[in-house]
Amino acid sequence: MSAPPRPWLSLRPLAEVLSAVTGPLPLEAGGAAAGARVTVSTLDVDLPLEMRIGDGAELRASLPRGRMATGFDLPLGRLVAHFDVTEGGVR
Amino acid sequence: MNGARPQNRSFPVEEFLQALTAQLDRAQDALALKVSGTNRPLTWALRDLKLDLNVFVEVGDNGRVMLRSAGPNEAGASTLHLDLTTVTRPMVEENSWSFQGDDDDPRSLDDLQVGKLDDDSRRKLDWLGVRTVSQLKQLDPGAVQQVFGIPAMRLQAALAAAARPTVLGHEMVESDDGEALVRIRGVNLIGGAAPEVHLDGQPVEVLEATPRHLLVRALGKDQPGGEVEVFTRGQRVTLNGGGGGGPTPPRSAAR
Repeated sequence: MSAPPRPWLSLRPLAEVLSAVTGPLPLEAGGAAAGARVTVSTLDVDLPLEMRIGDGAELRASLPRGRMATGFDLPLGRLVAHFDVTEGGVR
Repeated sequence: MNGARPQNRSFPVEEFLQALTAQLDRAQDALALKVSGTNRPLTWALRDLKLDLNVFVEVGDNGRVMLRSAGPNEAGASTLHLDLTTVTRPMVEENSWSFQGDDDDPRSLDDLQVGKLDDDSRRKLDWLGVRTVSQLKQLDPGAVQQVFGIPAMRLQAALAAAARPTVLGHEMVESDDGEALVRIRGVNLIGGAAPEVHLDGQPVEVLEATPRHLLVRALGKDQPGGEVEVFTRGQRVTLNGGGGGGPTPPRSAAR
């Protein structure tokens, strides 16, 4: 019989969560063949997150893992991030 | 039930903020890497970040403000609202002291064999942006102890270890007139008297010597020299176990 899930074990470093959220999003679409090209200029994300300050004072987080919150889940915090689109990763 | 749930620890607020900014730096580095690692010309750049965290704010015995994450079903937690924005490189350079370039000693702090820093000190230095020996040398151990709590003696031990001569690698090169030479890479390779070099136990002529490299006459065209021994600053130094790489095939010397 398997042990009950322990959600706090699957929290990931915040940097990984940010990469996971932005990674799959397309930055541009279309082109000469389509007759138009669209480029994203900014991205705003507003996410509820399970968060916990872990070893080494590192903030670890996860998107909520279910629609129904139980008393065993961490209280949800919130993250609001604004991204610009840049060329070549220049800060 | 759920006896395995870990007890949330408290962390000083400044440690948390340092760790958070280091994490955001890493996130941005990962985004930039996607551009260099793929053919995508564009990437995301994090500009602003707001966080609402459920924490308990406590004051430790020594008066330090500590943060502890709220656990499940814990009532009475505070909401810590953090608002972070990007500080550009010119702003950082304008408002803080700058480290010198890495030309002096680019070794990672992890490469220091003796006087190794413990994980806690290493992490705090990472928050400071200190990752190389060169950057470590720029620090004032007393000031770092006061601000970050890293014992000055530990830093001084690491600095003493970093000051020792070290051979990082060697390679065959060829002079303009076709002579076979060996270039030895390292740090702190000269100091006072001229260094003496032995290749495979035989003394060889040192043609050029700087703190970062030595250029010596090779034993033969295709003989990089087996074991490299450098005698400098009263110490015998050898290339240890492949650290920094062994000899590479001959190529044109660019002295």
